[in-house]
Amino acid sequence: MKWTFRLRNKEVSLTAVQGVTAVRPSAAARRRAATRSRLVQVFGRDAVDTSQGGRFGIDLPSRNRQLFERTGWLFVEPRQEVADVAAGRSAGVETADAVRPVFVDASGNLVIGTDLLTVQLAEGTSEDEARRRISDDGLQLVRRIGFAPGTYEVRVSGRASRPLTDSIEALQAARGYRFAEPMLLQAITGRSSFRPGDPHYDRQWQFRNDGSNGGTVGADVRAEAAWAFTRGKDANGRPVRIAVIDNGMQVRHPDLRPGVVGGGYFDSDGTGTSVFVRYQAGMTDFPNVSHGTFCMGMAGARTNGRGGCGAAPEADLLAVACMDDQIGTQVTLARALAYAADPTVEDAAANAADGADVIVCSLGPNGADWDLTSVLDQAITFAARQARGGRGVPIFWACANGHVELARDEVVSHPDVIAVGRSNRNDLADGSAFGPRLDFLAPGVEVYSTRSGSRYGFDTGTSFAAPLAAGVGALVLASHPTWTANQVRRRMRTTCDQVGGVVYNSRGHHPEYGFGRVNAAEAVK
Amino acid sequence: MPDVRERTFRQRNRRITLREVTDLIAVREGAGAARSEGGAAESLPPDVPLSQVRALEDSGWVLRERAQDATRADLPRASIFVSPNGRLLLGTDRLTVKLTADPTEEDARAILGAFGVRITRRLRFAPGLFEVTLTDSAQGDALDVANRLVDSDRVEFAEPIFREQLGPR
Repeated sequence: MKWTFRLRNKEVSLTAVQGVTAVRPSAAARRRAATRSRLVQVFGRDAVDTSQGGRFGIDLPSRNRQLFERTGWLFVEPRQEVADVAAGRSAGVETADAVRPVFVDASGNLVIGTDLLTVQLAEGTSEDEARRRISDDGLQLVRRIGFAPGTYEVRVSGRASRPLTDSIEALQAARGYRFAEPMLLQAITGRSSFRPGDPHYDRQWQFRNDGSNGGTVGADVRAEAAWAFTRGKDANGRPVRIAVIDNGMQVRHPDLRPGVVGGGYFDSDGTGTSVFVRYQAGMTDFPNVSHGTFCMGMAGARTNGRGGCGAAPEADLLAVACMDDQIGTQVTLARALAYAADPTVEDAAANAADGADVIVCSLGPNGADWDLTSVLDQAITFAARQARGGRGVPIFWACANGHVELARDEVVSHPDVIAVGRSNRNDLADGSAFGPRLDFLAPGVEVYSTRSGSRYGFDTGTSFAAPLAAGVGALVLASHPTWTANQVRRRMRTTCDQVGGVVYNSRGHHPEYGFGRVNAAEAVK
Repeated sequence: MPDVRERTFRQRNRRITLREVTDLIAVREGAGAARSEGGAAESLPPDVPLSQVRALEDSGWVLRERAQDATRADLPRASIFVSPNGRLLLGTDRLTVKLTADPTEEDARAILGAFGVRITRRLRFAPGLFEVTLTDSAQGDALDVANRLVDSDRVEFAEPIFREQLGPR
C-alpha cells in the first residue's frame, strides 16, 4: 500500500510494509526477557523478508535493519494488540515505549513512522491562534521551533485515533497550514565507513588503496564502506563462519587465534589415507604452514591493534588442514571439504550447525591441468548444494597462477566452485588463469597478511585473492544470512567493478577479468 | 627411453589412459631423503616437469630403479603413473567406490569383499560411498580391481586413488 504526501511541495511516496511493525520494547520488557527471541515473542514473531526466505514481498534491506536494531528497535509480525497500536486503533501496550508502522522509500530504505509532525501555520498566525488551531485539529503541541516562525513540532493525539497517514493527509489538505510534514525515522548513513586501527593497515592496499604505495587510488575491494555495515557478523550478532582449507596454518597466531573456533586436520598415515584429528583450543601440534596462515589472515585476521586485518575481521574461522607435505589424494581433499561444510561427516560428536558458511581453498597443482575425480566431485556437490540446510556453502577456490586456460583445471572450473583470479594494485589482471569459467578477480599481488611465526608480510598469488574474496562472501552472508550459495555468487558477480579498461561482453564477463574486481561495498547492500 | 605401459580405467564416466612407468618405483624415504637417483628422473616421460619430481622429493618420496631398489622393505612404495597431461601420480592400494544403493555396512562388506577389497571408511557425504583397500585376495592392483568393479551393476563408480602434488597456489 502506498502512502503519498507532500514534502516541500513535492510528492513523496512511501510503501507501507504490510504485516510488519517496528517496536521499541520498554526497559522493563527487556529485563524480563532473557533472550532476543523471547523479547520478540512478547510482541509477535520475528519479521523475515523474502530476501531471507521469509514471507514479506518487500526486501527489508538488512543493512538498514541492522542499524535500527542496534538502536533498540525490533521488526515483528505483530500480535493483534500490537498491530492495533501501529494502526492507530489503540493507544499503546505497556511492554513497549513505541509501536510504529514500517515503510520503505523509493530507494528501498527502511523508514519508521512516528506520531510526530512539523507544521507551519499560515503567515500572520499569532502564537495563540496557532496553539488553538493545533489543539482544535486534535494535535498535541510538543515544542515551538524557534529558528522558523510559526513552526511547531506536534504529536498526533495519544488517544486512540485514526492512522498517522490519514492525519497528515487531512492536515495537508486543510487551510491554515503552510506545511504539515511527518517526522520519520531514517538511517542517515551518508558516506560512513570503518577504518581499522591496526598498525599495519596502511600496508593493506587490498582494502584501501590511496595510491601511496604506487598503485591507483581506489584499486581495492572497497572494504571500508562495507565494514560500516558488517565486519562478519549478522544482525543478530552471529559471526559468519569461514573455513580455510590448506596444508596448515598457525592457529595460535595472535591475529588469528581469537577467531579460530574449530576445524581439524587430516593426518596422513603414510599409506594413502588420513585420520581426522579435531582442533582443540591450545593444541600445539596443528600443522603449521605459512601459506595457510597467510590465507587465513586474508580472510579473517582480527581488528585488534595488531598487524593488519582480514576481509571479514569479525567472522569465525575454521582451520582445516590436510596434506602438510603437499602430496596427497583427492579423497583427503574431498573429506576436508565435506567436513568443513558438515563436521558430522568426520566427527560423530560434532554438530552439523557448526559447519562453515563459506569455504575457501587455495590448494592445487602447480600447473594448469587438474583432473577431477568422482569423489571430489561428490564432495563439492555436497558442500555447495546440500550443506547449510540445503542453501549450500559458497566455495571459493584459487585458480592457477599461470596464464593458462581455466578449463584445464576441472576442479576450479567445476560449476559449483567460485573461481578467483588475482588483480594488482592498479586494478589490472595479473596473468592468472583465464576463460569463461573465471568468476572474478580480487587483489592478490604484493598483498599483506599474517605469516607463521606470528609474523606478517607481503606475498603474491591467486592463493591470497581467493580468501580475500571469501571474506567478502562472508560479509555478504552477514548481510543476508539465509541466502543460498548461488545468491552470494550472483551478488558478488553483479556488483564487481568492471576494471581493466577492457570490453566486457553482454553478460558482463571478460575472460581475463571474469565479472571484474570484487567490490565489497556494493556486494553487502 | 622410459619403460611404460598404458593402463586405462574409468573416471567420471570417461576412459582415462595413464602411462605406468614400469621400471621405476617411488619409495617414501622420509624428510631429508636423497634426491632421486641420476637416471631415475630421466626415465620419466619427457612431458613430466622436473618440478613435479622435486615436489615429490620434498615430501620424502624418492624415485628409484625397480631392479636396483635396495631400500628397506618396510618403507612405503608406490607405482608411478603419468597422466595424459604430464602429471605425476603415485599409485596406492586404495579406491573410492560408490554403490548404486546405500547398503548397510554389512551388506557393503559382502558386496565389496567379493572383489577383493575391504572397507577403510564410509564417506558420509554421499550415499553408498566408500574408501576401500585391496586385500590379499585382490586380483591385480587398484586399477585392475576398479575395472572389475565398474562392470558390476551394483557399482556406480570405482576409481583408483592416486597421490598427487597438491600444494599452495
